[in-house]
Formats: sequence, structure tokens, C-alpha cells
Amino acid sequence: MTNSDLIRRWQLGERSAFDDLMVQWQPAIQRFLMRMVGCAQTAEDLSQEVFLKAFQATDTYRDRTRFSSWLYKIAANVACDCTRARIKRPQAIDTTKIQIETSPSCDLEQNELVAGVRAGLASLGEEQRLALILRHYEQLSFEEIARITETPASTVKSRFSSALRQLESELRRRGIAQEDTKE
Amino acid sequence: MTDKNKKPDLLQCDEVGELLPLYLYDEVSSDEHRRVDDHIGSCESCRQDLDRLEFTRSTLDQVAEIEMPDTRDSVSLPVDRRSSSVGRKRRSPSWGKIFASVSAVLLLSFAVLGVELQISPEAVTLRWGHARSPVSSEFNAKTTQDKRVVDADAFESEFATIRDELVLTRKLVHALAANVDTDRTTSRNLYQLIARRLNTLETGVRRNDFRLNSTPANKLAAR
Repeated sequence: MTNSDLIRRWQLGERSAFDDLMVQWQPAIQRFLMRMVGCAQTAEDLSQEVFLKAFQATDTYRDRTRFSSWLYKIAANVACDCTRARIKRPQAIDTTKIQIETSPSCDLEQNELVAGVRAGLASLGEEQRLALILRHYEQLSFEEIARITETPASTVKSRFSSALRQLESELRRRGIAQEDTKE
Repeated sequence: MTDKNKKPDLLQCDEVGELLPLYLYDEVSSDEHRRVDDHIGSCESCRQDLDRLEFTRSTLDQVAEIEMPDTRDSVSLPVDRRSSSVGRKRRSPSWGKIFASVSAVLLLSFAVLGVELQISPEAVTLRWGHARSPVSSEFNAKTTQDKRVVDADAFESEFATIRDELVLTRKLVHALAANVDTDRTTSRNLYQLIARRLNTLETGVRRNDFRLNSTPANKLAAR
């Protein structure tokens, strides 16, 4: 069943259709939130919030909008609200002490890599991080990201470019870099 | 060189630097792509800049794999290295001729379907259920004991078509692994058949032609 079919049934009041949508989209939304906020537990909590807001906003969804864009917009707002709330609280994110959950199968080098990327993403501005995550991980087009963020596509491209450069710089600062080859 | 003598088509390093992130993600026009290509073909500094950005991109993917490893089903079969039989000349594998590819490892990736076919001199591997595909998200929901688990029967009926097709394709992969080292014609035919089937599946999933329709009342498993 397509998204449109499920959405149509959902808007007609069929609760199970929304459950099906949630099953389909929850992993992707949770992954996106995890990258935005840097914490798996928080991401899981926030994903519940995203789908609650989506359910409550049934009447605002219009078929002419892609469902994924609409859902990611809700998720992006939830993530940004969470980040702003963290900044207001005394305990800010200390990017130098980002802890990662390790599994027995993760070796030290992998742990450093994961910590480096998470710190790098955390060092980006909200808008830059959003542009990078949506383009790289979720593979949305710049036009779709522009619709989600309600900014021109050219602005999104600019944010994405600066995010990638800043991330590269941060990784290099942490010693995670490719050595330049000499001809 | 004065400005009026500078060829207008050539980009300067700072201009290339601004374009490189978008160039890396294929988000530049064909004209910009050509001009960047021309520049980095003769500019070591910009080429290394591109390499660093490419490394960053691959690091993001690598970390994603560590954090959320693929729970992909796969079948990987060693290439059947048959010993020469009497009177039959054993052909050594010639990947370039068999698959019209110059690479030692042939990789076909079907992003929407979530299937990957990899052929190397050592093994033929078919993976399905990529983390980002709609098919895999359902598999993940089932395998990770998500809070809401679709009723097993409804789940099975929804993906029966795709699963049957993949099972059949897996058999073809078995045949390919058995023949790829010795029978060039059969290998090529099998490879083309597999690629065609996977392309059809990819298109079907993209268009939702398979009507992934559950029974009228999807029951949620009781917690």
C-alpha cells in the first residue's frame, strides 16, 4: 500500500493506517533524530514526540506535499526544539567529552571514529547539521530540504557546503584525516 | 596574465573550492562539472582538497555502518573452481570480457529495492534488505522486536512477491557462481538475467506495482 493510500485512510479516521505509517517511517525518523541530537535514547523519545505531533496534525497535511517532506519537517522542528532547550539548560553539550555506547565488537579505532564524527556533527550549527544529515544520510534533494526548512535551495546548498567543510576540518583536528599524497 | 587575456572558461582555485562539496555530491551543472574536472586535472592542491572531502564523506558512511550495522540477509557463494577435466581446456576468468567491466569486482546496487549483487573472482554475493530501503525498514521492524510488530501472517503476505523473486534470483546466483569460472556464455546470460530481474523488482518497488497490501485489518501483536 502506498503512502498516499495509507494517508487517505488515516485522514478518513482509520487509526490502523497511521500505525502502518509509523511502522514504515519510525526507523528512518529515529536515525535522523539520533544524528541530530547525538543520543540514541533521546532520539527514541523524540521519535515518539514526532509521531504524536504528526497524528495531531492530521488536518494540516495536504496531498500535494510529499509525506516524507512533511514528516521530516516535524522531526526537524522537534530536534531543533530539543537542541535549543539543551542550550538554555546549564548542562550544554561538551563536544570534547562525547561518550559513545560501545559494543564488545567495536574496537578502539572504531570508537574514536564514531566519537570524532559525532563531535564533528555536534560542532555544526543547527541549520548546517540539518542540511548535511538530510542530504547525506536521508538522501533528500536540496529542493526537498528547501521545502522542509522553508529556505531557498541556494541557501541549503550553501549550508551543506560549509557543513561538509567544517566537518572535514573538525575531523582533521581530531586526527581523522586522509594523508595528502605527493606526486 | 592580464584579466583580459584570462580564458573566461577557466575556474580559479577559490571558485573550485566553493564548488567541490556540491561537485562531490553531483549537484553541479554539467558545465560546472566539466570546468571543475578541467581544473583538478592540473591542480594538485584542489585535487587533494577533493580527496579530503571524499574521505570525509566515506567516514560518515563508515560510522553509520558501525552505529547502525546493516541487518541484511545475504548469500555469498565461493566461485566454483573446478579442476580441469580430461580433454577440456579450463578457461581462466576474464572479468573484463565476461561482464564488459574493467574492474576486478563487479557491483550492482539497487538502492530502492535494497539489493546488492557483488561479483568477484572469489565469490558471488547477493545481499538484500539494505538499511535505507522501504523493504528493509519492514524487515528491521520485525527483526528488532519493535514495539509495534505487524502480524506475522500479514507481514508475510505483504512481501511474498518480493521474497519469492529474491529466492528465485538467489538460485540464479547459485548457478552463476557455479559457472562463472568455466562457462563464459552461460555466466554472461545468467548475469544479464539476474540484472534484468533485479531491475524489474527495483522499478516495481519504486512504482509500488507489487501492491504491498495487507489484509483489511492489520493486527498488531499484543505486547
